[in-house]
Amino acid sequence: MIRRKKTHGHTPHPPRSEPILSVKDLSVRFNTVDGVVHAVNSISFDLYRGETLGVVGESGSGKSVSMLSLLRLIPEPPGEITSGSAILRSGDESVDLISLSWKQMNRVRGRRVGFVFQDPLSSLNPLISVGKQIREIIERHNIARGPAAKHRSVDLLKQVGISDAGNRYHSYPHEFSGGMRQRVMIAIAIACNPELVIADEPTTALDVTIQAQIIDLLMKLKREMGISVIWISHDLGVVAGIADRVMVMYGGTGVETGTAETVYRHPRHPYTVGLLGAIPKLHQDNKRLVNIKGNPPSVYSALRQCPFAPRCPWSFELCTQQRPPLFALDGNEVSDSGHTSACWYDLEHDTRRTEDVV
Amino acid sequence: MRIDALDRQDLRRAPQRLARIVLRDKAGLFGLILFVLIVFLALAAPALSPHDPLQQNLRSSRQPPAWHDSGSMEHPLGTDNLGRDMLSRILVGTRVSLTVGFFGVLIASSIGLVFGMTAGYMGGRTDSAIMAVTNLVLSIPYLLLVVVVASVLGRSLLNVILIFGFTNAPLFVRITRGEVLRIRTSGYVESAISIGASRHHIITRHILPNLIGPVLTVATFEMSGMIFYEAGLGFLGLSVPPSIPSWGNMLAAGRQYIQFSPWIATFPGLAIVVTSLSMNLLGDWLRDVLDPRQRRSS
Amino acid sequence: MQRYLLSRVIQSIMLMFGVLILVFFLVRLTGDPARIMMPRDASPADIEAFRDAMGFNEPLPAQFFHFMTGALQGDFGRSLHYRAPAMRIVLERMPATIELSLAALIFALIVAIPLGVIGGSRPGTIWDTVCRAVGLVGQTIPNFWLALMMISLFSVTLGWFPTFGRGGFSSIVLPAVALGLFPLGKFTRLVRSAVLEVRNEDYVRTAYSKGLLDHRVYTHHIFLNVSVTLVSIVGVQFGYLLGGSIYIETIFAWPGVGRMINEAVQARDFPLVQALAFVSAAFIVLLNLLTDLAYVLIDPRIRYED
Repeated sequence: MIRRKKTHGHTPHPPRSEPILSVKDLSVRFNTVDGVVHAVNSISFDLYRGETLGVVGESGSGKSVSMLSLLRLIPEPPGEITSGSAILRSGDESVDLISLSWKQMNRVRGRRVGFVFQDPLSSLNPLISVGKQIREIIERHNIARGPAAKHRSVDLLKQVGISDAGNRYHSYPHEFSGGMRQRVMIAIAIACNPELVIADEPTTALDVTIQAQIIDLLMKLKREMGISVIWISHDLGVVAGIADRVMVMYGGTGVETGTAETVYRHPRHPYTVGLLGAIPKLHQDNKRLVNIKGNPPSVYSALRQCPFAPRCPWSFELCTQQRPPLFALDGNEVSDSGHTSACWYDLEHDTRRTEDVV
Repeated sequence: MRIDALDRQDLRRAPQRLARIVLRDKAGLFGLILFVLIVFLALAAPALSPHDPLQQNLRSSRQPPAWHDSGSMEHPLGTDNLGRDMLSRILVGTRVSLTVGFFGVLIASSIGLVFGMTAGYMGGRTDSAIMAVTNLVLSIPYLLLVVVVASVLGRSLLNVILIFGFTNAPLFVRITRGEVLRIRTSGYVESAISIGASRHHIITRHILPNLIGPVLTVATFEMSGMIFYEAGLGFLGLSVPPSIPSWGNMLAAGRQYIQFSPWIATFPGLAIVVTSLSMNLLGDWLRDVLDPRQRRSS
Repeated sequence: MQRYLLSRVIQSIMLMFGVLILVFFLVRLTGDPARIMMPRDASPADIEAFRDAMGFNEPLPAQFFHFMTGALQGDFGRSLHYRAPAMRIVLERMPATIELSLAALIFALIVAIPLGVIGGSRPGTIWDTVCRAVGLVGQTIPNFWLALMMISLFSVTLGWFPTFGRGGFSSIVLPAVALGLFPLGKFTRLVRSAVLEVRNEDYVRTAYSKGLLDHRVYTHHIFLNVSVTLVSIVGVQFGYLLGGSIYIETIFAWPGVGRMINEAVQARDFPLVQALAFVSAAFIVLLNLLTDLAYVLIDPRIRYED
């Protein structure tokens, strides 16, 4: 595998051990007054120990909803998980997150899975000091109590790089800058040594200069604590720099998955091709940016065809008749990664696939 | 949580959405029907009344309603302390309540629109002066203000209307001003100004249409409030003269006889409750339909 | 923060000046204050004598000066009916009114907070419907009518509570419930909609993402933020309670300011009315100041601004 200069804890080889999280056929819909919104349409993916999975897609592609629904953090109602399983493994023990009771779920959240959200200002309670907001999760999961819990909260603040942590413990979120608030969110996310951290566009609301600091911090903590990370972003550049593997989402489902290297260099789904074409590259003067024609799909109908078909230059009859399954692209020159693509058109060989291959 | 696709769909389906809200909110529809019925009763009161609401008959005073043992269908809701027919008086009393409510709101909202738009549009000292008076009036307990002014001016229908019209105006001033400020600083009006739209154009095309929703909604609630307060003034003997049948005057009489003839107080109160209910349901409904920003989530 | 509070204090003082001016002119609305203060059947000579005694013959600026200098020392003249300093009589009546208002407020809050929280946290359920119904009932039932109906049922028919007077717990139940119904509806609506709104805030999602239990999320995250909204309206509602006490105190013969307002108005005792209006307004202004202070204490964002 080719190593890039600027890397953030890429694991040398794609881990082929048992995944710590296996999501199968997860579907989520929202029952609104205007009809049913099919936000996530039977998505499946695996997350391996210690890896960073980048989840990319446009807004409305279902990337946040799918990850939040794993821990039942979408509002229910109107949200509803209609099918699927999500096995979280730790040693010999494995639980299906989807079938957990609310009470059991509350023991997983925060304890085994930590969250970092997009907007740290709105994600922290404005009326509670940051210290108490960290301490709360520590005491909830019985990591420590009383003065020890406070002590640990201050340590966490130090760990995420907040100077004068002892005094800053008593500060309120509005007294912090955006970057510092996100550091507090990270402290909360890692407070109970979770196995997994889900970061939902954690740098989108931040200044560009701060973004890099937050990325470095999260990746450093990930390496030190051996955490697996799901990093949701619409920024292909950010994901390219940090993710071991990438899942591209469109129309509420994963359309292409593979190592970051493979997906970026050899995209095999027309949507990914379009996305990569839409990124301006230096040293490529006079080349027009390719934009993807058309609009994101209407999510009011359940997926019975390829969601990208109406905008896809390669689409043919089959694309509008049947939803493409995930095709394994093993057996070619980029086969190292479990590269998959949900497309009826074989971009590599420039041929149409048929139903028979399913 | 944000679902961007939803917003887009929202715009495309606006007309259907409106129709759905209108039909879905059965309570609002009920309020509307009730309101229309009450207006009809007020207009047709003389024809519908079984008796002359002013005719006294001391021999048949304080007769209980028909369903009591000693009641009769002659006076379905009984008679008051002077033997006047309760049903007739309640029907005719609707007229006082609706007149006060309608004209009171008309005056209050007119004053409010003029001063609120002036304050919001001119800004500066004009704005400060108008808002100082507005806040001053709003800082005094409303009922106290109304009671004092009513006692100074004396009992007449016109006085009651004027009192409610003027004392309620500050509320409309505040709402109008707030809306004008909000609309003025909104992107589309700023861009209209930047391409040289005239003040007249801005006011008639952008500001007035946007004011209709909030003002109409508040007007509905305030009309209900005025009917409330008119009855309250009548209860204290400060509203229309005792010779005019009004719900407030009836309640005042009913209070004297609450121990042995509770129906004299019960029915005018029920009339107020029903009227107020219809307007509140209507107001909630109008807010849902006309003012999407305040639409309740459901 | 200090600058914020200072500016609020100055605003309040200005407001009280405005109230004094308003109170001065209110009794002169018709142009002839002597006429409205004297009985209808008073002879022209009596009115003239009264006008002279009250100083209504002086030029208006002089009257205004006298009124303001007196008022600033707490002197609103003598009550025509009680023949004693108006201010002193009003202040004697304040405790009874504050007691009743507080009782009504506590009643309203005790019912409205749990109801609003339950309704707001379960939209679309029967609790939600109950919430909306209570909100509607509070707005559509006049308190004076409710008071009469409750007397008829609970005092006359069932004999559970006294029909009037002040003394002991049982005497305050009916007036407090009657007076508290309107704020009860207001608070229920407000708490419900605030809970509905706060529930969808990002920080509540964060709280759940930490694995906090529902009751902790509600008490520590949702209700804390709802209380900011609640505090801002409790002060405002006190103004309503003072107004509503005019009816309720009259009906229940409760010896407070509200009943006195009615009596003073009926007796055309306008010096007393002026003192009552001023004290009521001052009380409201003071409460609003306290509300702002409470606001500052709850919300660190305001504390921080300067």
